[in-house]
Amino acid sequence: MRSARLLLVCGLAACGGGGGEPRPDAMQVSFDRSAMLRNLGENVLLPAVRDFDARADALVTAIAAQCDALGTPDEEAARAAAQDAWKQVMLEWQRVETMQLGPVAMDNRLLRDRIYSWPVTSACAVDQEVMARWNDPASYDITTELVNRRGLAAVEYLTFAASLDTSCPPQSAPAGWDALSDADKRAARCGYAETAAIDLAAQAQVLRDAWEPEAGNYVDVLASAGEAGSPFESAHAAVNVVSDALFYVDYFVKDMKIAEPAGIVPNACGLAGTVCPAELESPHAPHGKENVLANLRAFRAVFTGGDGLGFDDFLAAVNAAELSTTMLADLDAAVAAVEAIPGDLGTAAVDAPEAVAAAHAAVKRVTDNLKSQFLTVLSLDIPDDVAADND
Amino acid sequence: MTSRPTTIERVRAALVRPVDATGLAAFRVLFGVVLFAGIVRVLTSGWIEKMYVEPRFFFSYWGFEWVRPWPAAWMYVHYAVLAVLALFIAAGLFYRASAALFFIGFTYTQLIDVTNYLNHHYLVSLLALLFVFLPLHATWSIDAWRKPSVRRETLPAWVLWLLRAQIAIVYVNAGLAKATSDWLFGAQPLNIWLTARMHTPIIGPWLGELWVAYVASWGAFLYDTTIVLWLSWRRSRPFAFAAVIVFHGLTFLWFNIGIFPFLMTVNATIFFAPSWPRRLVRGERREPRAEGGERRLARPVAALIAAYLAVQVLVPLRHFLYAGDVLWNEEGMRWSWKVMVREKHGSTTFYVTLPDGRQVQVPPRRYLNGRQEREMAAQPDLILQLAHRIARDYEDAGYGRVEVRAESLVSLNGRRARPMIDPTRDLARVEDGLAPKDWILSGPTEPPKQLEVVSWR
Repeated sequence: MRSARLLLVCGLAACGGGGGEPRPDAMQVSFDRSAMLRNLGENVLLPAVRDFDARADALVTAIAAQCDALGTPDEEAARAAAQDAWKQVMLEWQRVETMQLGPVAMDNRLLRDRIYSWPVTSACAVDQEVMARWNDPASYDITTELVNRRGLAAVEYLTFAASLDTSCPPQSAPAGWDALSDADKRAARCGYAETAAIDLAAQAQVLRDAWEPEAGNYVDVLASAGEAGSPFESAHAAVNVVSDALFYVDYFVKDMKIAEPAGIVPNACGLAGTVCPAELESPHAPHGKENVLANLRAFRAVFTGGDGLGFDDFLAAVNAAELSTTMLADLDAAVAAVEAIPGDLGTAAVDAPEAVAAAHAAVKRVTDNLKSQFLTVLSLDIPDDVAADND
Repeated sequence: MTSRPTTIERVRAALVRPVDATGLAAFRVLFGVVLFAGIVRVLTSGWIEKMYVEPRFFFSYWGFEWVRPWPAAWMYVHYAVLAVLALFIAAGLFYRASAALFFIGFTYTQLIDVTNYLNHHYLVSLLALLFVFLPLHATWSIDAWRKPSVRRETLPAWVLWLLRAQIAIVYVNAGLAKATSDWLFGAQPLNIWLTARMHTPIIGPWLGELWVAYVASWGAFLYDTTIVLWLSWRRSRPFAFAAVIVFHGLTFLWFNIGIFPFLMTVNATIFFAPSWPRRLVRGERREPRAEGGERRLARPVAALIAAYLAVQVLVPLRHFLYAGDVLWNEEGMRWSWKVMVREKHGSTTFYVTLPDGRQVQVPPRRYLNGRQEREMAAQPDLILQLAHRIARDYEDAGYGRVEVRAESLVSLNGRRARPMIDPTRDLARVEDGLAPKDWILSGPTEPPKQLEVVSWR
């Protein structure tokens, strides 16, 4: 029977005069998408969520210590430790941020926004919450606040901002702020940072619970895609959701994190490609470059599946190993190009624009293949397009 | 002694020969029901937001740049009205007015944005237009029940043959569109699509095998090019209709093609004997008595029909006027029934050069949603439209005349991505037109990639 099939294939291919030589060994190839999904869930996504949750808890401890140390000789050291804790949790979050699927993406990315609402952020809104909590800490409830007043971006501002002045214009400045002493301002900010960190840790726990096998077990939801009761029509549909997540590197990393602040594309500062600090991610830390590197490395982890099955194996299985090789090489080049940016992104956009442009171009090479041959070979759709009709 | 009729006279006589109106009435009812279901699906799927509310930019058809969507709430009302009109068509209530309004209203939804183009939506518009002029409400309709003047047991055969011709044009062109080396000798894009559908019950494990893709490709080619013949021949008709159901059932199962499978299954009934509903519903075997109808087809009507059919025959062939692969350059792609014949994705970035020499990149996402970007990235004329819009925006913002170039990397049927648009051409200065587009680069010449997986779960 197999030889009959091969004969048929050979016959048809021969008719085409080079329309695709069948590879005799290709008939032995196999690939299990469910196994890939399970591997990505167990060995890439779940560890990222666990690491983020652990770092979020550590951030709470570090900020509590910072608040305790206010006015003591240890104040600066405690503040530095809190800043370092924020950087650590941010790095872990950026891994998860690059893998936005499942619980973090549900309800129009509600959980994601509670943890990290960028680019919807407002230092002024955070200042207003600082004052609101300071005035009535007992009844203050951060969980009812808008996402631009919570999460990692709020904690970053409170932990890194050098000035004690409010970020608000005079007409919307929090009432009573200017009347506070510097010590009270520090205490008010640190208190709100602690509240925000506790809220962040709670959201991280929610996310982790959704993935953990003994709780929400989203790993199994992913791995059993297509089976009875699954929210996914098929394993292929679940693979498409994972590939959708990879597009974060196109729209968010390439365009919003690198190109917009550097003025490579039009931005909030105008159409003419002027450097625009307002577009920077993590401007107070500053931590934009590190975020981008974490995103690219997380992309690589999903693409390769770590030591297990990933998209590289999927591509190899469908006779597209050279695309996999190209994308991985481009990805490594992109990481190297971002690493080569001197200093932080904001400074480099002014002082070394060619380095930022080179990094942007390197990331673009990855996303060009992602948006073209990667999709066609694997018969995947771009995000937002899955449900549309064709013909 | 009477002379033998000439061929033209025989054709004329055949065109006005009375045929049972129930087959055409059934076609009208089924068509209306399928449209109703399709419209309700759009209303309840959230697509109105995606197609008409979300986009900040709409791609226009020539001459229809003025067409714009209603405000969101009114788009819902618009579709709700279309659903009612579809039911009116099915019921034969205010039939001509309903068909006319449906044609206008449905075509309007298609004209808003070129990225909404689907072959079967185009077919819906064409059939709705024909309905306006064809008396398909002559029987089995509320109009016929209300108005004796409308009621007829038979209709002239040209009505039936015009609809048959329309459907035949669709099928045959869909088949001819598959007569490519990619489809027939590379088994693409079916090989790509089938390997992604190995979760299909029972037959799924086979879909990853290359020989299955070849069989499916040739089968689809032969199906499309010959199904009209088999449906028209009485002896093969039952088997042909079974093939229609299986073929379109599989396409429904495997692909997101909306109402297309149902529409084409309904369309297949137009090739049945005109009395099939009478026999099916009432068990009657008699043909209805011929009523005093047209003795001959009026010349203006005949001329209009001939012109319409000529357009329908020639438009799908216009791609032969252009060099290169139509699946790559898309010159002659629309309105040509090239249904599901390519897997094409691309990445496009626009480069704006300001008068002072500065260069800015413009990602399409600044203007488009994901669905629009996917469509634009594969279609050069849409890339040109967006380039013009970008140039206009810069000029409106006071930057003067800017140059806009596009870097467009496109993968066709799994091939390595290659540039589709000449990156040196200033698209802001390029006008769209019917002439061959020299700013589109040559397509790939290497064979498409083949996916060979036997146990892809």
